[in-house]
Amino acid sequence: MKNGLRNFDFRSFWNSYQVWIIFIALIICYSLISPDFFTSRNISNIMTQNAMLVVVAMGQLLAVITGGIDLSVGAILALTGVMTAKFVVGGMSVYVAILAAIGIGALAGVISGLLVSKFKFAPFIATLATMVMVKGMTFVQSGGHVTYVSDPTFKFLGRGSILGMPVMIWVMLLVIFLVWFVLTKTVVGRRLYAVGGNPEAARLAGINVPRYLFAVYVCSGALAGLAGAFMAFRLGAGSPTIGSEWELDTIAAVVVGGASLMGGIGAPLNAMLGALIIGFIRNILNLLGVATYPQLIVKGLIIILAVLSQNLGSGLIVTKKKTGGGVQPETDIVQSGKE
Amino acid sequence: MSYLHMKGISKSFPGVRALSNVDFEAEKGEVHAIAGENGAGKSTLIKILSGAYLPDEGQIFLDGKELSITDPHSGREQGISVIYQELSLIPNMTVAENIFLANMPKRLGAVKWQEMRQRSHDVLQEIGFDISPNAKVRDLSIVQQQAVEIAKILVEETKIVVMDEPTALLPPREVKTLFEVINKLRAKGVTVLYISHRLDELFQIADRITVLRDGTKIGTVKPQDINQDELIQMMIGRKPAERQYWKPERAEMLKNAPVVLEVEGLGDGKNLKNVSLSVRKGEILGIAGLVGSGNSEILQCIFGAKQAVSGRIKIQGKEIKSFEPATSIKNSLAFLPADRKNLGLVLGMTIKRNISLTGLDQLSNFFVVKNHQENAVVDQLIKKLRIKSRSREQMVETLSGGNQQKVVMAKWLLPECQILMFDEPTRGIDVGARSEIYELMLEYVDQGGTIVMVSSDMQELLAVCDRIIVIGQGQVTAVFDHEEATEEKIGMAMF
Repeated sequence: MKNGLRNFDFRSFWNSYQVWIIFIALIICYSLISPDFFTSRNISNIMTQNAMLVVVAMGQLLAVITGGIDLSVGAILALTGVMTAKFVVGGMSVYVAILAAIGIGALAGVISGLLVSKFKFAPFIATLATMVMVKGMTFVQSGGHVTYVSDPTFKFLGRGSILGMPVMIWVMLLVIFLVWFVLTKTVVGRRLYAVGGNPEAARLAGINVPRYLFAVYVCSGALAGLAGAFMAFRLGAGSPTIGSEWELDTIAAVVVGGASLMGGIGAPLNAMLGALIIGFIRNILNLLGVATYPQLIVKGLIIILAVLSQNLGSGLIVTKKKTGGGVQPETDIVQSGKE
Repeated sequence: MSYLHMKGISKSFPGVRALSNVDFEAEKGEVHAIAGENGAGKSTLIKILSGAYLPDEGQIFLDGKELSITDPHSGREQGISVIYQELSLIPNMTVAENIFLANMPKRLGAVKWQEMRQRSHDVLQEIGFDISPNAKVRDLSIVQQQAVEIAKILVEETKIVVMDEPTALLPPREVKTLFEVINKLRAKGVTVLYISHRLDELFQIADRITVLRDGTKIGTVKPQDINQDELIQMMIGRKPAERQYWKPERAEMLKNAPVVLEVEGLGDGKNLKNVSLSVRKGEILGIAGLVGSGNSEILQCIFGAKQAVSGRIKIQGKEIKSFEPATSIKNSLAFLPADRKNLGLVLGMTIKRNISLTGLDQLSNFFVVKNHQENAVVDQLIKKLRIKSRSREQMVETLSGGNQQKVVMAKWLLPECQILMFDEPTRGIDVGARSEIYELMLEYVDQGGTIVMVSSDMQELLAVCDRIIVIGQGQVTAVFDHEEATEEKIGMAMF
């Protein structure tokens, strides 16, 4: 939509760019609170802290676009972190361990994917079951203990840089690029949006809907596995308790990024911003010395505000006059868009 | 003064003047039809009457008193009820609970179930329905559900009932039942405002017809003073297009055309028993039948939208082994469902993305969509099918029914499907747009395509089809060539 300055339409501007507006506002807040925010060292620091959240959010986005949800990502992150540490301690090459972590994550995704696509489970239930199983596996494998690793490559991938940029950020950019490319440029992306927007119409258009649903959970699992390995690198250890609430944070991220949990809507770059917003809020609150539990309250409020502003902007909530009674407000928007 | 008088009603929406200075009058115990194309202002007028919209200007009088209707609830309290196309019943509750939903009889806060059931039973009997008050609404047929809605209205002592497309989902036999109910309402002194796209119904049931066009009232007429063409002319403001689209030379042309689709012994284990048919290249084959006769299942089974349990299908002489939408499309078959919004389109996507969905394989290179080529092809189709839109990036949900159907057609022309199977090609599409759809269908067959269409609108079948087969109880009961087909013959063969 091209708008000259003369007929600048705030509502459509806000609808298109609200994630960016929130993001920029947040950065301004951040820089006011922390004077050395704009040092390159600090920026690379906070990006590194949130890189894996973005990676997992990309997987979550895929599930959400199909109208699903993946609750198992946090649990997969913990399991693959623990396994990566154990593999490396057991003598496996770090690079092979990354592949193994991705494989384990994908395998967990296969379970969810089969339940959703073949056995028609609601994604919420399917991934909840996977989450519980994977959590159990994590504790069976780790006995609840942290596995420390002293391998130099392990440390390098977590803390080191290539061409002046931390490895973690390279990984994040690579994943964002891949997901963005698939969703916006390829046939697969087109079909994924159609499957989420209207599965029956998609099926009648010749799309193999179950295959796409299956693939989405495998990808989400694999990305969580990749993130699990890198979180272990960053900590220098495999911890069974890491990743709690990541499922919620990533869901919040894609929703703040404008995706619809009903499916069919969601953009990768916006989801990335959503993840960074969630991550930055965590950083800011830490900086302000807010304790963990009050942080949760703030996070919840932010999610409510973000979704509320989207609904207001899109006219989903009619504010200007009463609609009363039991009749749906299918209102003026429909009228003005007609013929 | 009339019983109901809506005086000088105007209403604007951003960018649209939906109604300007409309006067509408109806008498007590009258069935008054409101006719007009989509966008003429019918639904706005109704929504103002019921309180869903507030008018910018104008007054409403009922029985000489001015009403102040501020929202649907106050509309109901003042005796005005609307029965919408999508019924507003709660499927998991019983008939009695639905009828008394707004106003359950109570004693000391406890619901008087016995009285509720008894009164539900009585009021349903009154309109000629024998439905158990304890039945769950979800188990009822559509006409029974409408009866429950009407019972609800009678219990609330409604004075004005608005029926918005009440027959859209009804099979012909049940339309009769509905009309009997409407006659009973009329006899009880209830005023019925009746909206329908099916013009022949207006002539059957209405005492008077008021025509709206572009937000203004064109006039009020009695059905006995006017014929259907004249009514259409009032609605669209010009002479109606030719009602006959079929041309005699087509019969000669089709004589030697090869058979492209052959179906033998098709059955789905339920309504559809045993149907065989064959279609020639370039032909338009119509399928007539009552709802439940298995007619709409035929297309679904051929396409693979629904699983067939028996039968063989040959396309261009080649037998098809698997009945799946994906393989059907590869075999050049396309299916255009009656329920376009839920089955044919992804409403939240743009025109472009809906159209290209079926043709992505041709428009891509190693899975990467070729954007320029896609845009060019889509624009070409928008032009060819005369889809009225701002741009290819417009969301399909904002299009009118006729243009939505054109998008569905475009979607199948992109992969160059050779056989289009339409289920109710013009359901919910208004008169003007209908003729455009028919013209496009004929253009398509003139260029070598083939069409199979199921329709419950006999005039439509007679206007475009080269051949009509009639389905009764899951089997073919009759086949007519265009020249020999008449409404009577088809109607006889249905039962």
